[in-house]
Amino acid sequence: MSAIPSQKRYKLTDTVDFLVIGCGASGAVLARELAHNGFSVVVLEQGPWLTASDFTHDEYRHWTQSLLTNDYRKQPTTFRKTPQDKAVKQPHSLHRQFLALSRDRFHRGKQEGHDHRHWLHRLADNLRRPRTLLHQSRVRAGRLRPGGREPLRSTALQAVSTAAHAGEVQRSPL
Amino acid sequence: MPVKSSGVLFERGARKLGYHPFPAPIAIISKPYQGRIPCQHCGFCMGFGCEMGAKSSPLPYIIPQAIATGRCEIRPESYVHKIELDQHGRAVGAIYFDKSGRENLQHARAVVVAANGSETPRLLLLSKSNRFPDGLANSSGLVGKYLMFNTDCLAMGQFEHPLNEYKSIEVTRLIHDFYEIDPKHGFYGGGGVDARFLFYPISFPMWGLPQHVPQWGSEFKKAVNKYFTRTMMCAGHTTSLAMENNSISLDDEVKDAWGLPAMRVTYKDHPDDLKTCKFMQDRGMEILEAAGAQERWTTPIEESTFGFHLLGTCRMGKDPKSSVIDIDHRTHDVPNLFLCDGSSFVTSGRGQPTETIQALAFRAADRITALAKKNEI
Repeated sequence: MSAIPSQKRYKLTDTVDFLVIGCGASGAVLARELAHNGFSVVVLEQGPWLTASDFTHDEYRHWTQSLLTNDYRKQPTTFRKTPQDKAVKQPHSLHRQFLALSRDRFHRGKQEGHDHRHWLHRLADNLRRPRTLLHQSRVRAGRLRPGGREPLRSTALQAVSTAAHAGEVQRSPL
Repeated sequence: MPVKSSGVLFERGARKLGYHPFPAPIAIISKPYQGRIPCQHCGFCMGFGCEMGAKSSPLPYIIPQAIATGRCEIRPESYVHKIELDQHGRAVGAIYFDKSGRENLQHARAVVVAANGSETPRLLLLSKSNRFPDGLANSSGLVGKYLMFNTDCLAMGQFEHPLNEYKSIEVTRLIHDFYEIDPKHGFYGGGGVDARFLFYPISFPMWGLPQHVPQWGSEFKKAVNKYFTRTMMCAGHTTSLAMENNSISLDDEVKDAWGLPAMRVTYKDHPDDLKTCKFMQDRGMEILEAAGAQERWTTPIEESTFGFHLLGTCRMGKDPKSSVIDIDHRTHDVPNLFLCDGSSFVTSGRGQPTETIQALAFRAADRITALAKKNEI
């Protein structure tokens, strides 16, 4: 887990017994079993070789940016419900697929007019009217974002969802 | 593995209703094993890599054993886009892009594709030739067809005391009392219900809270404080019926970064699958009530627009007209080409297919070895 182990190397011109394509739940088992049974095996895996130090608990990178799956920007997929429909490009990550659902499926606070768009409309007001002198000085010093403390989740949602629709969020490299 | 709060409450509720909860089978080690560190209960299992190596994915466990044989090389960042044939219609190897984007052909006596239910059929469809104009090993026309996802549904409950569900493994208790739903209900299906939390600190405030909670402000903050530690869910994992229209195919317009046709997914749930979902969600809500939840809520049952389990797209069977591979995982059309992964399934079972996929891989390795030793490949 801690490092990539040294391993047998084959040349492209070597004709190995088995070429296994994919090193996941199935391919890794097949490679292990076939090699164990005496055959020469090359496994071609499209993903990178990750080690323990690549794994963090950063929810944003793992969930929002789908760190451990294909990069949807490089390998987009399209979706349609029936063969008669025109397929459209799917959102760029699992998280954004959830967000696309969430507009209907997880819509909350709408009845109070408290969704993230509401907060966005209030942004200008917040900028004009800082609530306290302390707040005002912190905003000036750049230590607080305009808009103050409360809409942390709203800004996150707004930033991620609008950027997702505009295709702006950059996937950070591994 | 120690039972989680959700497991204790689930067991309590399910028993009250006369169901039969049992410990969830999990492939995570609880004690040191073969030099691996046991689970530290950090709570970041699903969607994350396990830096402890306690989660028995192939990385800490199977891959080192494969390499230790001294006969196996694993080449990462190798993107295969064509299986090459000779003039007799036998596979001679595969062409792939390496990390630098260079195309290589690796020669082999036999090829085993294990890229799962979406990339396996895509690779066959990409591997067109004069002999196979509709895609490799596709004389049946069924490569990519009969895609199945498994449906899922959520029922959530908030309890009086903190459950601290963010800790430890995903699931510790489940029921299979409705593995076969009585056909008297008027639809076909079945599945399991398990106890879990599912969310993380960002995703829970975004998607996990009940509908009445405002999206920002002090009330939102209070709600996150209250619900995050006190919420659990009953998740249903259920059947997707096999339907020919649901498929993986190549997109006509969209290309990937290598210029290859992108994957096109066509999918519409069978009405019975959605009824099964609703049925299982109702059972989850009952269990939460019986367990003493103070508040319960659900997310709507909707048609799938993406899937986690990718099954059925190169189905196994004896008849070359109605299947892609035979019982040895050999394609009916190419004698030295084997396919083994979720694409081999003919039904979706009841969800959670990975262990079945791994079991199939062990079985396939035995059958392929036997064929090779008899010189029948």
